[in-house]
Amino acid sequence: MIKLLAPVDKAEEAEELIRAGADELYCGVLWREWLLKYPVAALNRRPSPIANLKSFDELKKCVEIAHSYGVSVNLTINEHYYTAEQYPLLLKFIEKALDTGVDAFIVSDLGLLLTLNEMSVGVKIHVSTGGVAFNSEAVNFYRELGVSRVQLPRHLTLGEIGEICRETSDVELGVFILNSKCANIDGFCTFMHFSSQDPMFHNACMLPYQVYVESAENDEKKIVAGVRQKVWERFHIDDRPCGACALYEFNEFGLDYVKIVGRGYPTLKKIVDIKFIRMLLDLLKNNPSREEFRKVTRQLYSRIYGRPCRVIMCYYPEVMKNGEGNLHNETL
Amino acid sequence: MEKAIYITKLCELPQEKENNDFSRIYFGNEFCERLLPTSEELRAVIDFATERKMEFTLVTPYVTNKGLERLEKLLSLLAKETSAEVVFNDYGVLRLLLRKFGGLEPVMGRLLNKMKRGPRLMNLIGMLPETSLAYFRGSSIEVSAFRNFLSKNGINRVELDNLLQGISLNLPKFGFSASLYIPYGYITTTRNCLAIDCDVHGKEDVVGIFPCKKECQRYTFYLKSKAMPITLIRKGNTIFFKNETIPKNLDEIGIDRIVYEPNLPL
Repeated sequence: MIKLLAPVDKAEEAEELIRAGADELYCGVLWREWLLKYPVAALNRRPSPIANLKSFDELKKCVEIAHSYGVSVNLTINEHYYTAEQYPLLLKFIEKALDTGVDAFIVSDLGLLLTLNEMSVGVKIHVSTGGVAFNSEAVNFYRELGVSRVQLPRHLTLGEIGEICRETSDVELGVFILNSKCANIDGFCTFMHFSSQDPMFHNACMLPYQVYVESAENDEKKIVAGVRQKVWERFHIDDRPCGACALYEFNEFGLDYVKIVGRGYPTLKKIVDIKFIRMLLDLLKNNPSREEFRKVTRQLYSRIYGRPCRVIMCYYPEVMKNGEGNLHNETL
Repeated sequence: MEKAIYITKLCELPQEKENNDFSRIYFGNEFCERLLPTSEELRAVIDFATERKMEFTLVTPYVTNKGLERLEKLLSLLAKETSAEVVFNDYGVLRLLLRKFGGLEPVMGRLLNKMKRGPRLMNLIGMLPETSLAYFRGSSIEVSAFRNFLSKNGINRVELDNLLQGISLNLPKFGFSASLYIPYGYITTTRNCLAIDCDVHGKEDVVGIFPCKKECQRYTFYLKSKAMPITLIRKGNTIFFKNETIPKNLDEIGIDRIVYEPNLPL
């Protein structure tokens, strides 16, 4: 059965998240020593203080709570790259993390992955979506480097995910299921994630832009095309992306886990998200038809989040196609 | 300094008078498997290069399994003809090259070199401590485990964008060479391409991995924001920046090739 991977940012919320239905937890840690030396260059992809445990002691406490329920804790060290100059501090961070008893490291940078292999760290290595495994060869590339799990990029269709599941073995595969449908491919996006409330430092894909269109097409088409380019800045304001309808297919594929994005979210939001997906995973055990499952999923999504399904917020919008190949939401 | 020209379409092949400027031709696409050349197009560019005694480099994108199948056919064709270079931007493509095309020379593409390109960094540059500045000018390529991996797999060249914040690397120290792309650097790329159906009223919010009519070839978008010190350029599924200023420390970095992009490479 598909496992549910959920974010944790405070040791005190770990138990609630597990009781809500999380099978595994993942997290980051803020480390004062790192921040002092690298106040801008982050240690993981979510540098905000609210998106991280505050110390290794807190991580250790979180691990102890999780392990008492038989739940593993995976630590993100998933910045896209680290320089050689950063390694002395990075290796110190890794040693401290190992002392807490974490179960796995989630990494993006090939340099770090290879370094961890040389160190024989004794914990599992998971490749983050930042590792950008778009095909079976890439998954096998990581498997051969000893990776036990690969998080597939957001930007794959259901058909493409199914194919990778069929063509690979001896490595766990997972996908995103809720929240933060990045406009761009995470592992190939070189914009910076800032930790700031200042609108000037919002993520680059969320900023308002003036758009100038260069094209030989007529003015009417150019205007429509220009408006289209502003789509993300509107939708990030109402950011409730979901891929839950596709759990049906993921179950058929034999996918190993789904991941809820949400480091930095309030505990209550995390619990709501976990319960939503847990209910659907439980529903799959009753072998519903695809149509029944989709219907229940859409009703639940609408009731819980107070929004209808929309293509832009759908992780796998092909599930929104009706029998005639049109997008389902056009008739909603 | 070797000079290469990078084209993505046959119509961009250099005119005779330009040929003397370039000793190498880059052909292909880094950002979209739908824009991979056909075998016929690849054949035509190889012939063009051979006739003019130019070296050849095939540029490849990140690919799905379907794209990998198409790419494998192109690599087979290329491997029969030459021992050309292949720029890989996907570790799956690298694995394929190493497994089946040992005669082709792998070059690590700029998408796999994750140095930050977000131009807002330039708003902070004067305020950053030296350690952070060094990070943003550095790369993981110089990490010993990474270097060993590259060398072990016969990868001796890496591709670099011309970063606004500058580059601080010393690749010759480790036996590597680098190519610098001028004037367009990439910042980010997506498969939720905003060119698809972009001029169809009513489809503004329909974003996903959908079939396209190669609208990217008809539209270019310039994005301006108060937060950004320079204009961003969106062509198809990719956002670029422009930087024509050649760094002064080319030798120190190990740049012995300039890859000139006459047009946005998409």
